[in-house]
Amino acid sequence: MAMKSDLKSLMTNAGATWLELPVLHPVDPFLETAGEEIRRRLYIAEGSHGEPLALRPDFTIPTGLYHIARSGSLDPDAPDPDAPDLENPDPETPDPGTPGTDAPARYAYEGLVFRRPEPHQLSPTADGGMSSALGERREAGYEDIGDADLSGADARALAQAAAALLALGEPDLKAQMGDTGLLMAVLTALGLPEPWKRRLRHSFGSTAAIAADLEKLRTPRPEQAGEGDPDLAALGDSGDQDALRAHIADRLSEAGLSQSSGRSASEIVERFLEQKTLRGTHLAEQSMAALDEFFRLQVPLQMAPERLAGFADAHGLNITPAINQFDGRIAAIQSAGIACPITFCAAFGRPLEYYTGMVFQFTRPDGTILCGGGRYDNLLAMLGSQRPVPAVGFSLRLDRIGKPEMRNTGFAP
Amino acid sequence: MNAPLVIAVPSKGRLQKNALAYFANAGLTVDSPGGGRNYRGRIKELPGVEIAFLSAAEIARELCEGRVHFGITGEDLVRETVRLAKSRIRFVKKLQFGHADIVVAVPEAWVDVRTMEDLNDVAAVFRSRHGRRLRVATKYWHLTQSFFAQHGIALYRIVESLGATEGAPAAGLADTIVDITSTGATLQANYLRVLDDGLVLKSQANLIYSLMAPCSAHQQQARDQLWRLLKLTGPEL
Repeated sequence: MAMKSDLKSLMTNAGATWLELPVLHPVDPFLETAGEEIRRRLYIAEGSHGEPLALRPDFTIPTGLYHIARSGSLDPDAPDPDAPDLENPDPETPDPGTPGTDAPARYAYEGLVFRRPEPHQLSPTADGGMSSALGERREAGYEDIGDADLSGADARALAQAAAALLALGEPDLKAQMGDTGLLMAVLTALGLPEPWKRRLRHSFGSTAAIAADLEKLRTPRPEQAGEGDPDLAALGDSGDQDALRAHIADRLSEAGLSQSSGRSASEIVERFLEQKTLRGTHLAEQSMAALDEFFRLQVPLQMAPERLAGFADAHGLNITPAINQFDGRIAAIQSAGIACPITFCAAFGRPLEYYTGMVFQFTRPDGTILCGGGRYDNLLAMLGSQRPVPAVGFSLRLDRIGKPEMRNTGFAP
Repeated sequence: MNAPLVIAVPSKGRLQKNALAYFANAGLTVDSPGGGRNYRGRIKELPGVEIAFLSAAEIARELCEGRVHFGITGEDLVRETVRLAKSRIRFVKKLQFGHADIVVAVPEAWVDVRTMEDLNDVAAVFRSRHGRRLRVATKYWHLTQSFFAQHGIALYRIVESLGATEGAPAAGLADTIVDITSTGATLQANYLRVLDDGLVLKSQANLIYSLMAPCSAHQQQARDQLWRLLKLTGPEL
């Protein structure tokens, strides 16, 4: 296919290894990383030993697993990842070789991914039934794994995405970029407790979810810890942690619950005491205003460093390390020279836990998303790597890119 | 001989007793010629109708597949079994029996967890503390997935519960459960507590119509007769 070989040369010329990855995978890595949420969207088949296998919903996890197997940084105690079949290697994919050093590597790929459409993506047919939209679409992508020069790798990924889109016949592009690290720095500087930082992090990317969280932060709720349980309330008020722990330990053992595999008494007590402050958490009006302003920040990328510095100054927030990292990345991006306009949108994010830094997307002027990507430094450790491994990448929507006759029909955009 | 209109009725227990009483109150006598072991029956007053005695879960499936026209079964089973329920079945009438709630319950010793939001927070850090995701034991995969999704909880795993779901935490198979309860006694006996906002579904038995079942002119006649005799209201089928 003409498109595939153009893309393949573009990627391999840029130093990426072209991978042919399996379509079928054990479900576990997908469920462990994204949680149960993703199961509804997976097509699951049964393996020869009855084990559930998923049709890959994306390439990033299979590529991550390939990299771990290749670099030998498997944690023997981690959940069993999908090791490539070394007995029957795919002739096109390089043999991962002897597990050895943790060498950084770049990978590229192209192929089908499979995701069950959501009910709202189906449309009623003329006879009153529902069309069964295809749950498959064609994607290509690129992952840069293990490069410690984060800014350099970020800039390279962006440039590679833009070059790929141009080569595939999409000259008119716009890009939006967000930064998870910056969000976390702002939340820390505002003094938000950990649980609130986690909640906002999880809502990142959904304007509705963020708005709901901000609403809760605006209005404190009455204390409820120990409500209806006078003994517990008394123990809570006394502040005697040992007595509280002993009390909870008793209740756990009465219920036959193990403290070693499930939540321990210490864990429960810690959070119980934290709740007294947690339920009362609400930010001062000034801090709420700062958060509101942050989420509304939207500027051309080259103006972002100045705007962010101004924002931090105006609200007295110490987010200098995050801003410095951000500035370093902008400089690298400007050196790389990307032809299309990039807008920094502070509210643009990806909720998945493993995204940690830059997140971005390329669109047509009409807003159609053609490419999405980001930095996901948490993923490889979640997949079983003994050490955290930095990684950044993107995927290209081949079902939308280029001339209509060159795309495949895929599931609803 | 014209094919009859088929109504699926629970084959045993209180659900069956109450279903038959429902028909009796409308002056309809359900006969099962051949005694208790017969899986087919008739309504004396309606010759064009056949009764199929099936388990409550099978009734949900048969309605979904369009193999019976009407059925009496629990709303919980239908919502769990039938994807895209709106296009396949219609809930015709709540029958005011078979009440049961599907709830999210946690160990009562988790005194810091009272709401789904608390559970979300616990789930978010579970993996980093215990090396695995929070596990939820349940028979209700779909109901659980959609309820948790509504509350923004994604970071958990469902563990299939084949036996008594309430025993799963003590058996070390799961950390929390989503299960059906009527009095709450079993949950209490297993040291479990329902979350304040943990009501997934308030279920009861319903009379349900299948939009998937083909309905001949004859069957439509029987259906309309049944509709009148049961004094059903609401949009015509």
